[in-house]
Amino acid sequence: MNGAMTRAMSGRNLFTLFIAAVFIGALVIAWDWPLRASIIVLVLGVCGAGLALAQFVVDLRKGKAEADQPRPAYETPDFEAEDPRLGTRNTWETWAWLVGLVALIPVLGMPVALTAFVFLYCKTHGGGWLISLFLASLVAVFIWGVYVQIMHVYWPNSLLGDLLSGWMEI
Amino acid sequence: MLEAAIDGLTALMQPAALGWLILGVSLGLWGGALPGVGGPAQLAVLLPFAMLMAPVNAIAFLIGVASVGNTGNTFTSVLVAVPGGSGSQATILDGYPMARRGEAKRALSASFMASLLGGLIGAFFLFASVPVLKPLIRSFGSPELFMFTVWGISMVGILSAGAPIKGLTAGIFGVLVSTIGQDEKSGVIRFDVGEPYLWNGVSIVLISLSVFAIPEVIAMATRRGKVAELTPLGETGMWQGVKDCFIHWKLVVRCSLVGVWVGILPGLGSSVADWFAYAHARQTEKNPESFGTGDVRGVIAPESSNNAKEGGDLIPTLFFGIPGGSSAALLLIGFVAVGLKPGPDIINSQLNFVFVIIWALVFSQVLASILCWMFIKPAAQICVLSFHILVPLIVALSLLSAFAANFAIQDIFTLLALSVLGFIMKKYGWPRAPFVLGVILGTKMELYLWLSIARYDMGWLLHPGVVLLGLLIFATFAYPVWRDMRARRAAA
Repeated sequence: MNGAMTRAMSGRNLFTLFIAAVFIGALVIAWDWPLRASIIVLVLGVCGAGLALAQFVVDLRKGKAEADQPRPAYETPDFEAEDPRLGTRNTWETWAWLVGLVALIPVLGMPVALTAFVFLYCKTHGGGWLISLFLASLVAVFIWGVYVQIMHVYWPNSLLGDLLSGWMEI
Repeated sequence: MLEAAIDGLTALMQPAALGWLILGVSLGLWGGALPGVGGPAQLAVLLPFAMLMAPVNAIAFLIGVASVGNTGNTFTSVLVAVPGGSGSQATILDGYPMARRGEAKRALSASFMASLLGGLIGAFFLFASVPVLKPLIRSFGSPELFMFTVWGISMVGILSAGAPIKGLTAGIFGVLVSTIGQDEKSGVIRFDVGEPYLWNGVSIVLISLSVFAIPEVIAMATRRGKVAELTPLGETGMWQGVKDCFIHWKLVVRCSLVGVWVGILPGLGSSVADWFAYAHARQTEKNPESFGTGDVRGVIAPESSNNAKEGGDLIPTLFFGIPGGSSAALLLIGFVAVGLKPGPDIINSQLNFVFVIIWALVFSQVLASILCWMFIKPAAQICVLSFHILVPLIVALSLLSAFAANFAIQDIFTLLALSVLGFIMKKYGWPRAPFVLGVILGTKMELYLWLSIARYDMGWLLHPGVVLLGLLIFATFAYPVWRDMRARRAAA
């Protein structure tokens, strides 16, 4: 019983249940809409929820080893570290870098944040000073050339930009 | 038609268009040579830039990127025994043993020639399909087109995944995501969670980036290090490889036809094309026992097939608006963004653009093979670039692409949130291509459904085309079930 419960609560099955829940949620929300707007959502909701729950049952019956088996034919080769624990750590670390970068964008502004990210990531993951500086410059020149000179992009305000413009006015 | 063909060629021969084509081919080869970087991931990153170009330039660039990945990914298959993409897995079986034997140059050269010939055969079939499909397409109405969209999603969902329920669910989930935003028919704002940002729906660029590009980057950063050690290229064999293709020209033609057919059928991608061709070669060629030990025919067969597939893939994408896989789906987004109308209309009103695409396909194949032959040594080094160079560059480009979609900072946050979905889908083996296809076709599907009901009430269900396509959809569902039952019976 305990094993079956653990299997049901695996990440794979929880994700399948999440998908089923999204379909059911869509059904509930669309129920009050006029038929023109709701018909496709209702059809999709019923089919999708049914299929997701069927997948949940199939995965439960298969067990973990078998459920891991199918690899979609379109998928590019899956890169996993040889040591699974190291792989998990690397994955979380990469997510932390991504979240950090996105959080940094409103603070520093997109061009500065991206250039800094490229330099810091490369430098802290084995790249030398030269290659890190080269890559960061490459990104900076790309942003300046394509986004500023060609596309004339208006960059959203950033804390750093506001501060600097404040000082300039003083 | 001849006039449109000449117009298309003239438009593509403009310096700007040629420049974009050369850049696209170079990037496509580079991406193809890097496992996990080419194909849909690369297209997703580059798509927003292409959307800002003039139509002919965008077509030249996108076709350049999309059509030569299978030529570029031969480097890793032959030299490091790692498939650069899903279309070059079968090449390893004979390409790598050839490289170990000191015949890497011969294997690569044979592969470039086979890719070139296969690509040209694919382009020829795309060209030949125009007069054949023109009268057929004119007879289609909204009911048939609705059924086509349903068939496309079902095929891609069921056949691409190896996990049909997941594939189908992912496709339906994609269609559901496409309903986010204001419904044009009723004015109802659907699933906006109180955010005006969502009134226009979620940008397909963000979805493709988060589903294809970011998960691949995370996978690359997870594995770290170089892909593998490089096998030496060897000194001779370049001309022998070219000659091999002409000695086995019948094999090249047959496998190219396999590739074209796989491309035409929605849901069967490059990975299927190369294995089908490889299996076909083993079954039909003399001395099949030498396959797998470094037989050049084992390189020629998959390589001619996976490049011919590109031409076949464009037939349903252009003329029915139904992409056969993820790369074709992204191409479709790019074409629509620059003003093309993929679907039955294109053959009547934008035939010159169809020919720009065909010519771009032809020139891309020729250019890719020439570049590969010319720069075989430096290109071979690309496939061992380290992750600390690739990961930050791809992340930076992905974020810039996401921002370029609407020039709104919210898009960056949406990208991050959707990337979690893409990552989990990849991690748990949920096929991502049907999901993206569902998002792309969802809007059309809903529109065709409503038009059919408005024009014919429920009578559209009895249209002969609808019944025929209904049977095809039924067969799509029934075939895997029948196959499984037969396998179980055989096992019992």
